[in-house]
Amino acid sequence: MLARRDGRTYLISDQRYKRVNIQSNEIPFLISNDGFLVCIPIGKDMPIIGITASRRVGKTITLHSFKDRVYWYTNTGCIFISDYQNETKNYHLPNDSFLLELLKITKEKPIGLPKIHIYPNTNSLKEENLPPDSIKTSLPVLELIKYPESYFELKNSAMYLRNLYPKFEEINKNEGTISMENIENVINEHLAGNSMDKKVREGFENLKTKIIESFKDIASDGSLDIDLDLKERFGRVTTYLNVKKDGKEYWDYIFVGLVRAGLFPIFMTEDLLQKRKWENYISFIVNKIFNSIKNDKELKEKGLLLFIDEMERIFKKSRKKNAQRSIAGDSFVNIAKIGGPNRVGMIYTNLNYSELDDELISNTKYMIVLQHTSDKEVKLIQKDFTFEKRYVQTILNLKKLEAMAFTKEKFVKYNLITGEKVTDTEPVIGRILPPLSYPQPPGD
Amino acid sequence: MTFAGYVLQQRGISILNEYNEELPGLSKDSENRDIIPSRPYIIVDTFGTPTGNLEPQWHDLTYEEVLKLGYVIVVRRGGWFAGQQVNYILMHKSKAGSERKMDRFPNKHYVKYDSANKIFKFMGRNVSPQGIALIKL
Repeated sequence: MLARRDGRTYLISDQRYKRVNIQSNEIPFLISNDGFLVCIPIGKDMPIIGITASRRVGKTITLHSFKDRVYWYTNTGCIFISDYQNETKNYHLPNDSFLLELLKITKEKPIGLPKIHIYPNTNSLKEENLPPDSIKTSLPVLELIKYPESYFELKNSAMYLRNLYPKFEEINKNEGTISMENIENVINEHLAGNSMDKKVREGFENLKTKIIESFKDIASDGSLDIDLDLKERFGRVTTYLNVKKDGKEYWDYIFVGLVRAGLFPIFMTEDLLQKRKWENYISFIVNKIFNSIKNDKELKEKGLLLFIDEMERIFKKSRKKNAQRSIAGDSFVNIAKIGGPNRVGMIYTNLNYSELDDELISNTKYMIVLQHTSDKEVKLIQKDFTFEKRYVQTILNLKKLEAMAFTKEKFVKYNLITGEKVTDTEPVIGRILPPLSYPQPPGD
Repeated sequence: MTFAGYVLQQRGISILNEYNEELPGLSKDSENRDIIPSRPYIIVDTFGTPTGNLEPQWHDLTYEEVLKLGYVIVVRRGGWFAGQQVNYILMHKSKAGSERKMDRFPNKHYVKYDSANKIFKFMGRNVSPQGIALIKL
């Protein structure tokens, strides 16, 4: 109980909060109503965590608080994939106003994040609007040819483009760059159907046109790493980084290099969204990051969590009948399926639960549900996560920044009074922890 | 220098791009002051110790340079006490190079108590009680 003395309130000694020592593989995210600090453990498999809520009840704040704690408390690498609204510009500042009382309970100190903005280079990007801690990047043309399925929607025909890779590599070696002319020539010359069948020949002609037009499309946006002339016109862009760390030297793809250096890269998509093929761009990046981590022993040990705000934008209403999942949606589902053992996980937020992809939900191990206004959607969550029906009403009655968390695995819980550690599979209700870095109010 | 650059420096890690250039925002060159305005504000207390996110180069800046970067100095309290603090900061800066000592702020760069109070409310608790802040307009 609280005792009053000198006009101040004190906690009597046996009620005072203990300092709980969380392990380096646990991410705290919630203080439960029964006095527990609830954490999500990172095991051998990286977790897939979903956050779902109505508008303006703390969905993005929850994601922010996750990213701070993942960055500072665990050894895991972090990448923020999609900042659509320039919300991350103040992440380098410490949180100075938001729910600081709660931070006192967990004895945490507000701190900023060493973030770096990565802008996709496009012809509509205005140099003067970019913050100083930002880098422009572009799509590496050789990578697009080597792994065509990560960008082009070619299905089985992707192998024809991939087979041309040695030719492009040779051109790049001799001339130092690849021009649009080279691309057209090589594809016209070598991508030919020798079949007698007229239909097959026509098919190849269509494929040629499709590939060349796609390349021209990206090049005219300025987002392709091609032609020295174009490079000069759109300014210096960076695709690969040379990281020197502990006496060793690494050449990495830009996102991977920044993760290796221990920074927090943020991909800024505000400008990209106006382009026609922005989903393909995101798909390429996600696949490239995934493959780099998969094939790198050091980074695989470290692990990686991708942060995605408003996931349903990327998927495009895939629960509707006959609606096709976007190519970016495919790459995220791929991570949800096989990312775990390859040490790549993700944390995503979502506004309309009913629009989320089935395959993504079935692989989501933790779901954090904030206040909902739609009875229908909560019932869907109840069906997917099989919890008791009485919790449906609880979710509808949640207050702002209150959350209920469900798991298909387990939570690690610390009793804040006794310091005792328990594991539990039951749903928990409580208040989400505030972010440690500066939370940007929406629309500010 | 940005926070990311500072973190890299502390950890002894360096990053170069394909052209063997340092990345913007990660430059170790503390003279590169163009980087600073990305921060919306930085808080400096009476004794010149910043309580914002990072130490570095505010002490090296002169008052004119601060204004050039588009910042104003805001004091928490009105009256002579606040003036004393501002003078302290300016004297501190003049030690770093410039001989000029200012005794008054130009009016257009002075934010009155009420509005400053609002700003401090927004800033929250991290301002020390005797705090002075530089705020970008």
